[in-house]
Amino acid sequence: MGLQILYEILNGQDDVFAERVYAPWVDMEAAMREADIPLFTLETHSRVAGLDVLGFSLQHELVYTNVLNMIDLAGIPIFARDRDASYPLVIAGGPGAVNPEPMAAFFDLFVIGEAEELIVEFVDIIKDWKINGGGDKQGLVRRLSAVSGVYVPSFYDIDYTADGLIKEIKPAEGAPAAVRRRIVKDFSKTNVPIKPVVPFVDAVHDRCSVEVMRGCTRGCRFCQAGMIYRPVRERTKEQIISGISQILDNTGYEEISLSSLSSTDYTLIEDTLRTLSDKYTDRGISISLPSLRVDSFSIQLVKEIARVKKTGLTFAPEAGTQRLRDVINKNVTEEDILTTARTAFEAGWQRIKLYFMIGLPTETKEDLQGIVDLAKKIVDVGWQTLDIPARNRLMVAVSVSAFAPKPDTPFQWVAQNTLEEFEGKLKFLGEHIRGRHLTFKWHNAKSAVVEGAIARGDRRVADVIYNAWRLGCRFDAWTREFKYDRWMQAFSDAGLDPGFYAARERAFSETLPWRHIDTGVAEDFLQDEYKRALSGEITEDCRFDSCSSCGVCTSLDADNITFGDFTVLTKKATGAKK
Amino acid sequence: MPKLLVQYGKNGPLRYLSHLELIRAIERSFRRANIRIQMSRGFNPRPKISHGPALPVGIGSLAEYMVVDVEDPVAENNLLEKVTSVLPKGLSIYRAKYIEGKQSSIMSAVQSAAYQVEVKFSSGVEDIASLVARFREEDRLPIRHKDKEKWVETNKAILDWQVGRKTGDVYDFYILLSIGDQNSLRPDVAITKLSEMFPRLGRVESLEICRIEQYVNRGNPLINIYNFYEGVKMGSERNK
Repeated sequence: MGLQILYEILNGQDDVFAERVYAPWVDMEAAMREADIPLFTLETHSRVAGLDVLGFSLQHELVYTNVLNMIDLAGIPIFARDRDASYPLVIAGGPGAVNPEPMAAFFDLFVIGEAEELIVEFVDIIKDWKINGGGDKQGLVRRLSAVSGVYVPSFYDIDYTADGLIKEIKPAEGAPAAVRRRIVKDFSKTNVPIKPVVPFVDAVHDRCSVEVMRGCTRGCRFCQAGMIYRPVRERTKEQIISGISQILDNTGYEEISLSSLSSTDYTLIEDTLRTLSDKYTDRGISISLPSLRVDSFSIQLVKEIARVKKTGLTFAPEAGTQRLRDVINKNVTEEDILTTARTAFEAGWQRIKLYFMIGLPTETKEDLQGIVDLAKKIVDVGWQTLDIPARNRLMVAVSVSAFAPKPDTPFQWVAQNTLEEFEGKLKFLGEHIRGRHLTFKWHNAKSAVVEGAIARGDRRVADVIYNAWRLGCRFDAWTREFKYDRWMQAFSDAGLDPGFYAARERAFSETLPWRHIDTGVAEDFLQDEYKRALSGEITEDCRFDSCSSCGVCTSLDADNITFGDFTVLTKKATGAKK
Repeated sequence: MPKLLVQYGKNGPLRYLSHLELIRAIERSFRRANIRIQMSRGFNPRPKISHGPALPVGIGSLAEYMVVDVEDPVAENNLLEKVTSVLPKGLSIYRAKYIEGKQSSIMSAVQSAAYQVEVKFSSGVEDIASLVARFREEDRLPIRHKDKEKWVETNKAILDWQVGRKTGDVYDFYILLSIGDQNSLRPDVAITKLSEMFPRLGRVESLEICRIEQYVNRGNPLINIYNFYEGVKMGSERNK
């Protein structure tokens, strides 16, 4: 999404060209290296090394070796310290930038937060620098660092204690003690990107997508996105409808997606969906909501939009027992889940996918058993609800992933489960989630361990990522390409223990490696939320309950901006409380 | 219900589109042009467009055909102009006409297709025409494609194979192949087989193939798809 937004803003400028570059798959990489073809852009086949700026979106930790590989394929030195002004400025943004430290050695600078306003200031400085002859890269970086939201890692020195903890983060070159996340205060004042590139190949998210709002204040304690994109800022209904109409005219897409972290929480969702459905359903254009909350309201909405195409339904209870769902602040009750499932079966769905995490803080055997029980109860509901021919197609698919604690969440201090613990739990679930109407799928726990170690890593982890890349790691998010043993070797070659970063409970007093990146979420709030988690106390959504004092609105001088009323949302929240 | 027969082509880098990618690109172009296509009924509605035999990836074409069930009759010229203005570079629409609703599908009508082939072998020979003649003397040959080998009655599959002028190292062939039954052969596979049969040609170094026409029969006079379907007057009166 971010890529498309910036692509359109940059190409809307007279003297800027923004082009796309992607990581070639392993066979293409081999062919390119064999034929000595450097990485090039898709639009004009320009050499990447000849660009002024090469920007990466860091979506998650398991793409980091791909980033290194792309820089190398472009013929650009991988470490920032080895690049002079003859190379492009190599920069990054995206959620990975809230802990930029593991990748700090490779980038000249990072953009923290939302870049639609920042990028314009950014290219103006580069333009001016080029007109004046370019050359002095250090001078350019210094000027760019004055742009709010820009973090230059080389302006900070890190001291470590003998135990390997961070002793001090020392700003130099006049850099601020902390770089504050940049946001667009009123999202409805920004344009909907209306000219997305339409690919020929069958790509993911290849559809007309409009971001209906930004941010989520539900406050799930494991969720990084729920913290680092606050506050909630909605678009108006008119903006969404007109944006979609223009995108469809420009692209000819056959599917509309209303995207956000939790689209059924958009206050005007019902009205918006009805308008879209009336306008597009008989034209064979389908509408989808990528993220659904577990409540009957959501099902009614989906029923509304599924007149064209009935795709699968996925719900994320995340944890198997009420106790653990309270710990993670996932405000849904078992009653909600079962009622939702009943509504879905009544509406004609026969296949429901449930998403859970294992390794959440305080998890016990009962919580795992809870996953098994809940899945079986939903099968029972399906059996009771569906008519006889449909019963044969009844399927409850349980998908489980291993929890990796992320920076800037209430769980940033917790010890991740070890590989052995994860595998034991998966074994238990595999043995118990069995039956004619049940399937069990799990994500590789090994990759979650690597992800967990990098996610909360410090600058020294750069060597690990570099070693892993040198050892041939690529596309680590693809199970078939992921090479756990080489990652472990990469850690040991760097003299580092993955357990130090992943499976160690941190003290509140510890200086976390990302302390100098200020997302606006107060550390006090995160500590308080962690304590509340341990005592099973729920924190309500500040959109319709009292302020949870997360600190974002005061520190970023912003507010939740919504356009509809909260009656529906409030009803749901009350329902969740009992 | 107006049905529109469209002749279109696929060239340049877009000849590497797969059949499904091509279909999607065409459907999206019609939507961009705001030409409404009827949707099929049922669980998963699809635009009513019926296509002819899929073109193998990498082969260009001047003569692909489809029948489109449009919602409203638009004048043919108007339609060509509207769709052409939004087509990606590499796809072209050449002509279109309204046809009777009840007729056999393109898929079942096509019996043969003609290809223009430009090929370069790693070592050239002077008597290519006699090699082609010897190749065509065989009744049947084992043909290997995608790790599968099967016997094809090549004398039935290859209806014609003319050797054109040689430009530099590049041979120019016109090949007419049957389509639609067991004895069908892809043009690229036929060229590979030729090079395997006569090792002195060496390997195929470069190969450019373009489908130039599709026919409803296999003998003279050949009748192409466009002429086979009778046109009806429609759209031109209700010019939108």
